Amino acid sequence: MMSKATDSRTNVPFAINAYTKEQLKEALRKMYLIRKFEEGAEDCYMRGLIHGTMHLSIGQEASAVGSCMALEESDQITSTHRGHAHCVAKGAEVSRMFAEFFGKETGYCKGRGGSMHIADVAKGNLGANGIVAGGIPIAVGAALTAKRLNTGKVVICFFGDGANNEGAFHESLNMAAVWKLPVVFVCENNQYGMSTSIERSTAVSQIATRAIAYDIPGFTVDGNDLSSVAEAVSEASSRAKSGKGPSLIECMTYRWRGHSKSDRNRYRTKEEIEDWKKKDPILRFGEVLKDHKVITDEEMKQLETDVDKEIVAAIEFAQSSPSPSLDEVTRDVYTEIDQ
Amino acid sequence: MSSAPVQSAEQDSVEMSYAEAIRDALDIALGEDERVVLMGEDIGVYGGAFQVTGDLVNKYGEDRVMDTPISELGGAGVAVGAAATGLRPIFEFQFSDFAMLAMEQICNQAAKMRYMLGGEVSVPVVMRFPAGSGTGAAAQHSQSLEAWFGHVPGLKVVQPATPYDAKGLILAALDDPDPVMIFEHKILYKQKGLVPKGRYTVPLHKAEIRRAGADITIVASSIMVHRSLEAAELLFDKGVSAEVIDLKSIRPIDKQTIIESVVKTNKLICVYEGVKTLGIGAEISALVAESAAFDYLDAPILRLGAADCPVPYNPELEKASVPQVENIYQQALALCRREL
Amino acid sequence: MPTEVIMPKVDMDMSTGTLAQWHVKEGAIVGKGEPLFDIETDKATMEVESPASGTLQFVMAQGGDEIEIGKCIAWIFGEDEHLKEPEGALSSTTTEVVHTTVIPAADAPKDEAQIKEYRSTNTGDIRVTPLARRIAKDRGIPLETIKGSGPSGRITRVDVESARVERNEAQTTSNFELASHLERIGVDFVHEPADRMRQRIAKRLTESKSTVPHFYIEAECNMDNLLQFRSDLNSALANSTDSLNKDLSTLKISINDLVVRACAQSLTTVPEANVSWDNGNIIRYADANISIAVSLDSGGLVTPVIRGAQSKAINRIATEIRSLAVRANNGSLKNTELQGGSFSVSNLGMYDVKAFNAIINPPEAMILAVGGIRKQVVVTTDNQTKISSVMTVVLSCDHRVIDGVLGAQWLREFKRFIEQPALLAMDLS
Repeated sequence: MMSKATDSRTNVPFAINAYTKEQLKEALRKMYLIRKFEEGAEDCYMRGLIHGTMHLSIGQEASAVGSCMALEESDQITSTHRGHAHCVAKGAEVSRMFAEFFGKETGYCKGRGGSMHIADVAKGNLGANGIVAGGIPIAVGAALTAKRLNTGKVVICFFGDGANNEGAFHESLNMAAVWKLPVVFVCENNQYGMSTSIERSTAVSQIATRAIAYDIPGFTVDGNDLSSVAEAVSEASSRAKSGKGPSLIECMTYRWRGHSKSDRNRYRTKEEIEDWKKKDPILRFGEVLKDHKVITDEEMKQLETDVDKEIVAAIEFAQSSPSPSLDEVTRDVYTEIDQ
Repeated sequence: MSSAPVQSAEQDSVEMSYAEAIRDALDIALGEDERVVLMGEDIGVYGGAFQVTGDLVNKYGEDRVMDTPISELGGAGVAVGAAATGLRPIFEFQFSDFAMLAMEQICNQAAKMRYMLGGEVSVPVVMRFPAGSGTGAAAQHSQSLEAWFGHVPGLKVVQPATPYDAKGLILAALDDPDPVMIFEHKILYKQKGLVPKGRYTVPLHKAEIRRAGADITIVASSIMVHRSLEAAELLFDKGVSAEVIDLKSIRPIDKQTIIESVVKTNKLICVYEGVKTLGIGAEISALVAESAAFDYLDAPILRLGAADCPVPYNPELEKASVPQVENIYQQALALCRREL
Repeated sequence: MPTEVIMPKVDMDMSTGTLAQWHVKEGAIVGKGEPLFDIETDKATMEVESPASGTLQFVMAQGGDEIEIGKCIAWIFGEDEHLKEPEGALSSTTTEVVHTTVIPAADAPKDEAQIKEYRSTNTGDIRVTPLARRIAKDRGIPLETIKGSGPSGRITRVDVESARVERNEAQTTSNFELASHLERIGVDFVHEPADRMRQRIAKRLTESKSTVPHFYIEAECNMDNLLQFRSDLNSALANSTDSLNKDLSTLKISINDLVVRACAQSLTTVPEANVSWDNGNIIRYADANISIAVSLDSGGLVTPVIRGAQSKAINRIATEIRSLAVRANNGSLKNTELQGGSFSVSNLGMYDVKAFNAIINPPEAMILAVGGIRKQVVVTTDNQTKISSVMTVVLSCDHRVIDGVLGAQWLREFKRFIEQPALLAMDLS
């Protein structure tokens, strides 16, 4: 296993060399957008405007944006119950995401899925998943399609540390390796499967070492460093597209919020949470961009203001959108076909 | 009054077994459509545990007739993901019992994906489940689990009873945009019948009256269709005219055919190989009781299903645990004689 | 702008939260992320962090209050913010403390009457299949009167079928069953649906025969006088073309016309027989309303009514019957002309029938079945024999309202009018 933070020869982060200024600014904007989207969603939830529950990824923005930065628009991802960031990173509109959270017909899932099943198939997001590791075999299946139909696509399969102890994880990695399928397994290790820490649940100290069992490359990277994530995923994606098969990338990160909205944080200390907040991936990436003269303070402020406006407009769109018709409760269970 | 499936005279038919008819369908599908892939354990060079895929691997290669690792959950999930993204996978569970390892992918993912995603995707996966008892394989290789899947909105579940239907339903399943579960009966694999050459389909949502009758309706599926037809023959000798309906599909259930029949005969027996409790028969009984046919019932509705126990090993016990011709005959006769 | 402090939703299906306690006093300084107050949920107590740094002001809820989620319960003012009551903070967004009351379960029945309404109204202890129940209801057969042949005496269709007084071939079980039975035993036949008139006849007469207790009285009438009377009438009419209008002078009085007239006269002299049974009551008719059974050229049968026949002369009756028969065949009878009969006449005399029993046409209480006229040797009152024309009639009576004696009295009157036809010319009403 290896850690990748910077290009050891030049000391310039990978991302600065690999992407244009516009791409880098767009990455920062997306991280803001994810953060503000989730804060907005949380606020609406606490006010009782959104029902059910939600799993926030505040603090994990770099792994989502860094991973998707390495993709073409036609590439695909599968996501998790903590999937808002993946959805935004892959190009979804926050207005339709809010609409989904508000249960509206204009939402990505027309109000049938909610936070836990948010998807944007047109942009290649095959969907968040309410089942831990549920999306992993599906990602492998999508990769099988890519290989069989020679589409040239790669699939990024997001999952959390909790999923690495599911059978589906192991079965899927094995099959993807046996068939050399174009899939990149991105494990967002935020240290806890709900309340159970990785130390208490997982026999290996680094999940990336699970790759050894399937004879595929495995890396652990700083998941709060966008450049490291983008570098690792780019490399894995190139490898996958060239027919060499899958890789496993473990992004070390942390969720600032509880598992879900009913979490009382009994399993971790406030100090631990505060320590991780100091490693805020957005601030870090912002600093990197400023250091390398990609963006100015004023531009950053402008980006943030623009995102705030976008969020307000998105919530308004969601609130004013039509609710689904009750008559259509069973619509889309099956494809409508003439018989 | 024919117990044989309707054959179209213009189509050239050949006699083949149920397993051969399935292979014929798979062969046609692979030949017609590059997107079709077969997946399953030992379906390649071994030819499948029941020799259904046979030597298809020689014709289409390992890339299209794919031996999967012994990973039912992962394998089924890969088929689901592939179906959602453009392939037309046909996944074989070696025994239907093993599908329990894959329930998550079938019921949580394949069945719900279209709905959860607001109709933005469909999952045209076909899964094949060799099912049923009578082989002496005991509790973990003999079950009839179709009703489990029939309980899941988003799935379609069919049970072909004849070689003709086996082929036609598989090709119809492949044409269908949604997940279709095909429960094949292991005992029927060797049963022969006339099967038209080339492509044809059998509707996924229609039952068929295999034998018309006036005194009692017997609704059956899979191998129970054959046992019910035999029982109907015995009943005829006793002056009872039984109508035998081959369900073919348990999701959706062809309500109209059943209701119309019960209105005509005023009596109903449901025969199925799954465990009697909370099974297909319960559903059919209830849908009849809720329908206009209620006012036409002249006797209690009976269910004949498997005993409430795992399928036993001992051949006599095994036989006793699921409905046989004699049970169907006796129960139908008793019902018509107003003894029940 | 000060920051709002709200009662947050922290759990699925949570609509209110109970504020357990404040960690910060009103007016005190609090930092963003520091514990601000506790919420009690049904699961546990949960700490809520301050959404901003500043001074806690305008606290609107206290420990123990149950508050709707999303409601503003206080404000946090930043250092440089002017301490002014935020817009509507204490008025429109004033915290509403939710008072809970115990609401009884919605489906709990309120009183005995309601409970009774919910309770099944079906037939007590009688076990009956849904099909048998329906058939019995359709045919008006009380379930109490049927003996069930199923287990524990369950009534099945067969039991309802055999409970009927007499099997009517057209209605024997369902047509379908008969058809499939015939098919099975190899009988060739054509299966066709019955038209509405046939259905109605089948239903009405089945009901009559199975619910009305019939009895029958037969009488033989000497027709010599009546035949002479008719012949006299018809030749008198034919010879009066100069004084009568054409309709009348060409009219031919039939035996049937005279029989109808005799019935009307008899109902006038024995008014006790001009009745109907009405479900525990008796209807007494003021007029002799006589239904005439008319068979149609197209098949089937209707029974148009001559109202008030007791006050209609023979020629009136004759023309009315002609008109009804014509209009019955061309389908132009009015509904009112088919209703309101108190007595029926069915005449098969023209088919050389000696005698027959007719089924009462409900709700009437009697029907007279009229046979053909034939010559026969009769013994006269002075014990001589001679050849006379005779006619046999059979009166069917509803025993619920007509006893044997009454029926016999009526029939004796009828015989008198037939045998002394001059009386037919009298108005007895």
